[in-house]
Amino acid sequence: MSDRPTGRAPDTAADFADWIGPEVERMARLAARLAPTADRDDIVQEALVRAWQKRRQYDPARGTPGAWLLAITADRARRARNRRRPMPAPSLGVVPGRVRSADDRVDVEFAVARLAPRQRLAVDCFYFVGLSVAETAAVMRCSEGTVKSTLADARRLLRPLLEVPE
Amino acid sequence: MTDVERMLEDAGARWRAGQPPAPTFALSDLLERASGPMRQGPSLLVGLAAAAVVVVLLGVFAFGRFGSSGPGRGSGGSSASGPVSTGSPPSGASTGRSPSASISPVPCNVTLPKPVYVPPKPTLLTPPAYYDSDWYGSARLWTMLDRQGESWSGWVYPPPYPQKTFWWSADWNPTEEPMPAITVTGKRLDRPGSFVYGPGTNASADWGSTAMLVGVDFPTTGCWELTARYRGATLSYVAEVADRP
Repeated sequence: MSDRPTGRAPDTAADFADWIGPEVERMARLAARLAPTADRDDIVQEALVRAWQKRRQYDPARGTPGAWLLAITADRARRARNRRRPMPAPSLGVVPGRVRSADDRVDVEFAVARLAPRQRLAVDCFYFVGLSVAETAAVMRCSEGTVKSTLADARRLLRPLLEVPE
Repeated sequence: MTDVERMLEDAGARWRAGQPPAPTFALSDLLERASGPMRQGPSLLVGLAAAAVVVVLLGVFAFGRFGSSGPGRGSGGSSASGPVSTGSPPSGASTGRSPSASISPVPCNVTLPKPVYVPPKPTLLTPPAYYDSDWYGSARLWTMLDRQGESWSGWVYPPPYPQKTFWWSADWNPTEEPMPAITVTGKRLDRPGSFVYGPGTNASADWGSTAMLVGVDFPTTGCWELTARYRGATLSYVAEVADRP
């Protein structure tokens, strides 16, 4: 039994708040992942207000409420990232050409950062934020098939970067 | 499941586990505050008013009331002379970006990376696409600027140097000079204010390039002109500092 919201968006603030409540955690994770240098909570708050203002445009036939909210969050995160980006941050102490370190997580993050933006977005949504393929497709505004092929391309490119043998 | 998938899933699970708890909002209050007549969708009255404005503007335009001296947007100030030297106003392209009223009463004309500089090999001809930036400067001193201009807040690094500035030069050999004699000065353009930081250190970029790094802190928010000096070369650009730690 899922607690995730279903059906049309409620029209009162209290009901709407209850309806979106279960999605706030995933919205926060997505915001943190897509705009790591911006304020995660600000992005979520902007997304919630935006969703409330656009609630009548939500159509259950076009996707789940979760996917709709996540797509709005991704849009706000993109805006925040462009608006509030600090100086580009080359990684300190990374030796050129060296990928593998004692911390596999650093290696993976480093390798993922080398992917093309769409591939990185797919990997971020699916593997890091933990979205489904359908939700990732909503965030990327593409079909589920495109998400799957983008993820496959990303894994193929990551293989040599992570020094995984064929 | 392949090794790559397993590594991604493990890294993702660890990343999620390290995330702070979900934010807690008073959702109902937040949404109530966001509610208002304009937020509910444009009314017929608003639509009619907008249509009237469009008609008036079209009429004015048709009768040539807008001269060529009208306000422009974006990069009209692009100069073939390239990036500026200290003491001169920025000749690179700039925006008429208006920071929020709490920051500065005047617009901050942040520098755009125009003309775009193409550095010598082995540096990449353009920064990796995910930086959404271009090189700006000359062979003797260049940096990377956001295509929309630099507007900084949401600091990543802790004090005392919450902002890192990165610079490259064909004259710099990181092996021979790991602590480059570069200085970065800041001059606030909208109000009094200044700083100077240096020398620098070295940093490796995620695509393999090595940069001169100078950490700085801004005494105040506002519109700042940063000027780097290295081996007789100078490079300046204007950045907006929207908040600080």
